[in-house]
Amino acid sequence: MTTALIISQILSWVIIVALALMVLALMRQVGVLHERIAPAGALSMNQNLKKGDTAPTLAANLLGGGKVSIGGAERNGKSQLLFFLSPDCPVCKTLLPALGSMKKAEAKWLDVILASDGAEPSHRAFIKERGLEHFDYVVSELLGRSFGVSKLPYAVLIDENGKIASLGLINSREHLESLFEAKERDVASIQDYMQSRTAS
Amino acid sequence: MIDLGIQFAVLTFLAIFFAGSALHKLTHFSSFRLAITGYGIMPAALVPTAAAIAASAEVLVVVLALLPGYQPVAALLGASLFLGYACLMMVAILRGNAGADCGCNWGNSRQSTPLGRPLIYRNLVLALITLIAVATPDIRSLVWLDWVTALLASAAIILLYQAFNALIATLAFQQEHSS
Repeated sequence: MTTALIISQILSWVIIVALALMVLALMRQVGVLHERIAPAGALSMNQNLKKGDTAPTLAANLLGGGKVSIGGAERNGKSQLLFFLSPDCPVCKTLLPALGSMKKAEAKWLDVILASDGAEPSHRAFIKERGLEHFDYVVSELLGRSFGVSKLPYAVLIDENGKIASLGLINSREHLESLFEAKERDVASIQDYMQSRTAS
Repeated sequence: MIDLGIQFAVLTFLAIFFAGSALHKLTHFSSFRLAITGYGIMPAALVPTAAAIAASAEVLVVVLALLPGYQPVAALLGASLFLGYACLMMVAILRGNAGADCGCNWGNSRQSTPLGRPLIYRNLVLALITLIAVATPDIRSLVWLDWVTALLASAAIILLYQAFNALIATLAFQQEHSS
């Protein structure tokens, strides 16, 4: 009898641990699914700027030293992607690997600039922690205000002529890619494109 | 008076949990400092000291839980840490920093669990479990079955803790999308 109880006890615990493991795996899978089924296309919610507007031109100090000019017509044929983020924004962090691979893959026609505001030491720690040394990183409140950024993460794609190509709130890699897609299709956002398709 | 097996199981959980937590804090110290900065509850100059104190306190819980005679102290310190973290989260939320990363994912960089009331309730439950080990145990010897129970129960609680964090991260992601 005692042996049977011992075996039953051990078996119960093994099953409980296995179930807890399954719950954890399912929770993570639900998280991944949520990321995948997020609405495709960055949500454009900017009151200051819209597609086709001339992007505000300004020179900003890079955190790593030097300056970068944002906007303007003298772009040497290259577009600029301004990605507004914050060290304490969880979604921003999940997009950093995508930005890294995008920067590498699109280097021929695109400059990626990370932008934020706030105390510089926390940004320096963030850069070190996330290995962002190879990015142009700007800390400027003026930049965010000029582009009317109200919610993070936010991205603005400036085309080679210094005009706003697309912009929007970014929550996933698909949103980020949708900015390029919108530029290619010459629409303000993927939502606009979908609406025009539904209307026609 | 509680059964020695129950106290042993709680202490084993406490030792494994804080060993994992302290290990993450010490190996990803800058990430932990960044998480504390996100709480927005202390001047930036104090963050490294606070991070070092938290990691040291967790190591102390592990050491005390393993030392015969000091187990009730380990349980009290462990429960105090859970409650202390809950208070810090409450202050951070009241200051409008709900949504900042809790820094409680043991180095899982893909998942970011934001500060919110559910994490406070989670810590209260963990503190209550820990406080069980403060009670005086009955006098009997540990048998091998107590070890099996303690190790598997600890594994189950830690897995459920991680699952809860994953659930909160998913809910936050969902809310962010629907807002």
